[in-house]
Amino acid sequence: MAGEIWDAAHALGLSPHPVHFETVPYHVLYEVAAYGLPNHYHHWTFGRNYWIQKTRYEHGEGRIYELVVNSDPAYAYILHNNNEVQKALVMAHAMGHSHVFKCNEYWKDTRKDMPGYMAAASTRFATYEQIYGFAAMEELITRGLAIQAHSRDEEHEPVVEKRPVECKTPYDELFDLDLRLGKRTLSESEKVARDKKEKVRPGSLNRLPRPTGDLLGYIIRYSPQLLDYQRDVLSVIRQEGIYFQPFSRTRLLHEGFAVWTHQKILDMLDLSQDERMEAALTHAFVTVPYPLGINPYHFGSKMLDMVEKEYGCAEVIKAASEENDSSFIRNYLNEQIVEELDIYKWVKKETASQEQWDVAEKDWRYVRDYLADYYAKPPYPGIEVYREVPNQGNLVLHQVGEEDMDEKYARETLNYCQDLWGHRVELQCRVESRSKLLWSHMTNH
Amino acid sequence: MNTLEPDAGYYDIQQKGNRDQERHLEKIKHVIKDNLKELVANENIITSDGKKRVTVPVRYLDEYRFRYDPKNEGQEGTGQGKGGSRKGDVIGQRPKEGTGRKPGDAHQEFQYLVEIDIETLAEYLFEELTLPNLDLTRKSQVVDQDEDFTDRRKKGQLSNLDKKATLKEVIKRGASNDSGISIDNHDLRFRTWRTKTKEVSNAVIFLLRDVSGSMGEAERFLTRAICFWIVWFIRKRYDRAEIVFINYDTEAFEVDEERFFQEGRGGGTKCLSALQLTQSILTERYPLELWNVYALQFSDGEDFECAEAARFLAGMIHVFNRFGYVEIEPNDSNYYLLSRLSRAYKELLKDGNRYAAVKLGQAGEVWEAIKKLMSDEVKGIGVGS
Repeated sequence: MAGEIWDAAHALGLSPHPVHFETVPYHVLYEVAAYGLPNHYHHWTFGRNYWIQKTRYEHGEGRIYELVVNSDPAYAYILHNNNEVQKALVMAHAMGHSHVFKCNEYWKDTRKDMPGYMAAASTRFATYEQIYGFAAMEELITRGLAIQAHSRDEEHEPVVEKRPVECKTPYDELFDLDLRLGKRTLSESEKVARDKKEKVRPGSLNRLPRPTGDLLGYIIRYSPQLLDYQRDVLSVIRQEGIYFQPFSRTRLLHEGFAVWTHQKILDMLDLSQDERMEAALTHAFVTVPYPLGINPYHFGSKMLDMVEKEYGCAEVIKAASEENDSSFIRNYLNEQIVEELDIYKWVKKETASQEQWDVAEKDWRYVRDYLADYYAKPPYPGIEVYREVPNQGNLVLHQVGEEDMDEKYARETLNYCQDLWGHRVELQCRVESRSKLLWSHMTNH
Repeated sequence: MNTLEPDAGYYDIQQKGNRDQERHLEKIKHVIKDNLKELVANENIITSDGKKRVTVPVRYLDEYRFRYDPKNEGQEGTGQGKGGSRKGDVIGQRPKEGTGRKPGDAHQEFQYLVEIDIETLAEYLFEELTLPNLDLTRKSQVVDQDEDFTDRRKKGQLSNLDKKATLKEVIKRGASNDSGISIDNHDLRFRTWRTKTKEVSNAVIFLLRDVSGSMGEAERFLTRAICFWIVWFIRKRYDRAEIVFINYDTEAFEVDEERFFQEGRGGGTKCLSALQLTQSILTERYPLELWNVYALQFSDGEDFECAEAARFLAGMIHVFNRFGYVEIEPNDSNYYLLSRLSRAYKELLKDGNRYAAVKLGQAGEVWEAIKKLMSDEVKGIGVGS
């Protein structure tokens, strides 16, 4: 069966990582799902997720059919009490995920040795725990995970930023050629203007020539107080953060493409009428539309169906390889899809006694732009390390973006940052629609 | 590519989840411990008869991180209709509630329902409590229900034969020699039961409840919460505890537990009658050398014979390890006033630490009230607080 599916995937034009399948009991599948990877290090938050998901499953809710780990070869975990048709469907589905992991622009450069890397790290962590104690490790991991989302792989990027030249006319770039070739130097007024624009900060340290989103990486590299084992633990958390980063940007595409793939592959397999019915039922079960949300399995696959109808199979595979969720919406969502899938924007209206959800917009252009913006929005507020205060060692962070932050959470997270950094950590951010400066261990409330 | 059939044993060795799950549950217990005050008046618990495990809501244990303000979530979004939706269509509506999950932000309002046995909860609680005038020397001898299987008899069932004891008898008789041993019927020893007596410490708790006033559902609930924990606490400390329920208006009656909490009448109030009934039951059934005596009186503080009652109580206060007066006053405007009864009872404070009083307005104060009623240092209502 697995061989047929593998061949069918290639016939379809996919180029997935080879997939190693394991059929496992549900508690194993739910455990891998809660941790994100097999052989993961310990932390109570994963235990919480595991407990909640497992309990939901035991109550007949939220069934997970499969889980595919991004690695080469990929690992796919399949629930062992899936029936044969479900297994075929799930294997075909996994081919879709594996293709995205291998070929998609946002995924192809992620590390492909993560399961081994993580297993080795977990072994080291266990040793650290014996030496430094359970509490020390738990506290350290808690702090690392708190800012894991603020890990960026900027190591390979050049230190000096190349800002795009702002062009007022199409020929501006040419006028500035002398300057850029080093044949002319900036006048004083030009320097002031540049400093203002580029926010060059007097007194900033050389090691921070420009703001960086890699808060965790910055702390790992420059914190004056971290011990070697702490740097190791935090580095693993950072690597994991970078490894999982593309998920939030490609969820719709990932699930949509996997569903599209399993449909196509099942059509190619030699199945009986009953088996087809069984497969259709399972398929229908995971692709139910939501009235107040987007089911990525349903919406994503329907969109790809329409792309296929209009431009052919190759275009679907091209989209799965090149797009993220936001660009996918922008490039492919059209009037026909919005109408056919009945996509709308809703708003909640509250009165003293009731809550009500209304269809607020149906115009397809509005819906397209709204969805594209929605998928472009990062799941966490953007944070940049902005500067270090000379002679004090205080670290200054800036929020990127205009959205309000949760003040209580921000303060506690800043306290965590100070624990790692050793000095005060400040954050210029937006709270309740105003700009506000928060810092670690603030006392006023 | 290959496929493996699952081997549960192999995967059990790999399990990570259990350890982290346990750690998470441990943290939940800490949260419960930190929120004991709120749980004290939890209806599930105090109406559970103390037997079963109860389910209590615990908020979702979140980890701190930089995140968006959740207040702005769930206000708008995209969704998918069944076809042909028009601008202005109503997708759904529902009446507003204080709690519960909204479609948009289920995660936000997430609460666990954690099952916990009341025993464990009580243990956490009672770490903070002391039992005033604890006296474990007032004991009585009782026949223990468990009998010991330690005695030896000459007659008995063969299955209960004690071989070692039998051989000892043979040796005592000198009947063993090189050629072996010969066991006589007289040598046989059988294990048998022996009844034991042991000493147990005793306590009797008198619960006196004023049924005359406007004791509604809220007041009943507060009474019940206080009774539940204090009775539990006293039971923990003494081997045997008995409860006497007394309702009173102008007359006092011994009642069963159900009636004690449910009964309500009109008319006047004389708590003197309840105190007199307490005294006569004590004399009749609970000799002071064997019994520790606790009492809790629940009233709104309006009484026809305050001075007489206070005098009578002063005369017998020495028999109580603790007499607790709980004045229930859910009405805010009266809350800070001293009732006639509490003013009359104030005299009792001069007489050692046998008497304690609290005023109770709402469920949030139950735990403080219990602590005050069960502490070594006593205060009256409105005195120094």
